[in-house]
Amino acid sequence: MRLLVTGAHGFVGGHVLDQVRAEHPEVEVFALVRPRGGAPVPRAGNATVLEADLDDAPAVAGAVAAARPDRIVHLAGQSSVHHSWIDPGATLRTNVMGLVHLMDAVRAEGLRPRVLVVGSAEEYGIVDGASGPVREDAPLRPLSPYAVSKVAQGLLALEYAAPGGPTVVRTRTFPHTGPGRGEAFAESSFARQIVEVEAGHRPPVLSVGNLEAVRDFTDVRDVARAYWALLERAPGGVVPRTETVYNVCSGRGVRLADLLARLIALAGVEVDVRQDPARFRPSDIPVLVGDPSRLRAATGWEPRIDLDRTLRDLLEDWRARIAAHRPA
Amino acid sequence: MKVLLTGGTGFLGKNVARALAARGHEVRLLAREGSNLSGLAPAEVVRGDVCDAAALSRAALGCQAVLHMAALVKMWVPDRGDFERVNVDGLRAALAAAQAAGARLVYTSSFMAIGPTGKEPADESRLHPGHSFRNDYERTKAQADVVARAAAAAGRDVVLLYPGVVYGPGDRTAGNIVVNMIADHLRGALPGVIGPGDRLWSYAYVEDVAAGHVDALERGRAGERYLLAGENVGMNDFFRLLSEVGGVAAPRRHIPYAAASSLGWLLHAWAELTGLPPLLTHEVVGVFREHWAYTSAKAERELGYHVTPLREGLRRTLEWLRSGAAA
Repeated sequence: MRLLVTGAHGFVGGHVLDQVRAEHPEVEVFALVRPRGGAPVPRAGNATVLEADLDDAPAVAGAVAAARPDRIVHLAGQSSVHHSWIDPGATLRTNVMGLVHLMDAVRAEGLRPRVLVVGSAEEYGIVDGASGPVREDAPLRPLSPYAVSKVAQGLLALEYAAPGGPTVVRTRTFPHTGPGRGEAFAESSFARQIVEVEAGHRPPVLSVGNLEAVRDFTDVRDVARAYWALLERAPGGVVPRTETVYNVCSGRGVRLADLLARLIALAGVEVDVRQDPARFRPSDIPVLVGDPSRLRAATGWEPRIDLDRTLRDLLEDWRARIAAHRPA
Repeated sequence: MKVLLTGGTGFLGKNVARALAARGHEVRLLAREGSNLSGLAPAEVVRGDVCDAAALSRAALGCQAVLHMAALVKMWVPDRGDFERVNVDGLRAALAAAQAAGARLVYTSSFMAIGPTGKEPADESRLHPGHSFRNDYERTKAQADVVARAAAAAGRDVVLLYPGVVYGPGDRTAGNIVVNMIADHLRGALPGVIGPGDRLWSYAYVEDVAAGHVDALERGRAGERYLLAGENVGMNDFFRLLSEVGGVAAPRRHIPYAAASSLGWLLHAWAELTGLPPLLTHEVVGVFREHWAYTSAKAERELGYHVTPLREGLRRTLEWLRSGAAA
């Protein structure tokens, strides 16, 4: 089997590569990454690293032609809601046209891969928290250029799925965290600040945004497992189009205030928490909890890593990252 | 044309450097500090390493072509990561350098990047099947091949060359395995033939391959792959030819794969412990188990590639070895 992972050097990409290497060593992996202009490319296990910018159609086509994948996990893209307000055009170009470049290349080569197109819970937008966890048939009311780009990407991907052609499986992935998570995300920023307090690099005051939001967090390693399970086991062939999309989530909501309290308790530090209005987003959705029933039914997937372990590992990861950058 | 040559101080590289100069090209040689420049008269030597992308890009400026031959051709090194750094990242750096200079890239891959074949010779349409790599050299050359093919498919001016088992007069580097084997045999130091001796290898005479490089530079079609191989001959027939040409009896002993492989494991383990290069590894024995048979018909047709018969190539090689020039 030949697997192409786009965005392979990203947060989730790294975990997908780790997992495939550990559990499916027979799979030949091609890691598509953004070009670094001849600078050394970080290793990706035994994966063959191919450089192509999603915006560069010939480069993407070249990579697909050389890798000839029969499985694709499409993770590459502009993944920040915040950045999508700063540059909506670039977000749409990379997320929408990037998919077009990828799927055009697949079509031009006459390949028939199973393609996992990773979407986002942000596509749901404002949801009615009282009606319980969000199911895949909930209306899409995207609230940011990022969310619009992911809705468009998912719907366009379906247009490429055809009998005798590629099979497209889509996700709407809810927040996920764990080792390697970027510091722009609330829980990772909390963890970083806590570890900095621990190390004596900052006064014991945490600066946070809106703590009332309720989010559904899954460990990134469970998300990587879900992606593999969907790639392998989600039904292909003739399936109603609307049923080819799967929530990837735990189904448990946690208030960010409680998550922060857990992190503080796990680290065992004394800190003051101060809210900083600059950390509020223009469109904070109050409650976003998903229903993973469809994913469970199709693949048998269950999350294996509980939130405490995820948070402990996230703290540990920040300790390592900070130690690496600040020699004692 | 002005050509930046990497790997020009190797066994094949020196032959290519001479062939380029003989055909009127201006050679700028990228060579590491302290590398052996004997037998070379390049127009210009630039000191640098293919692992240093910036140095490579600077060196390529003003050249119309980059001939990227540098590779780590070893059966074992203390740090396996060196194989990726030289064989894969080195190619990436060469691609970037050629692009920045607006130059054509001629990339020297290897028959191993096409993979083992069975008895029927393979042509350029074959891709390495992946997995089951016998050694780090094969793995990283196959990975680099994907990188090179991706660039070719993206429309870059890249020509991909796949020499067979290159032999002939020239430096006794680790890459010149056939001459090393013949020399061992002449001294009576070859313990025997590994395996039954029926596996086909494609023996490519070094001057043919060097000329093929210049032809590919001048006439190779952008994005195309060309095998620069030779006669496909089994080890028993190889030694039979050698005895006919040189009057040296073929080795009588055959070492079963399992025995050679076990010995290879031991020597490999010893090398890992001591950091000293082994004489043989199980990963090398793996190469002896396969057929590596290829046809160069496409290069003959499009580039005018010429295959010197193995008998003639061995005659010239023996003559050179016995003349003392090899010492």
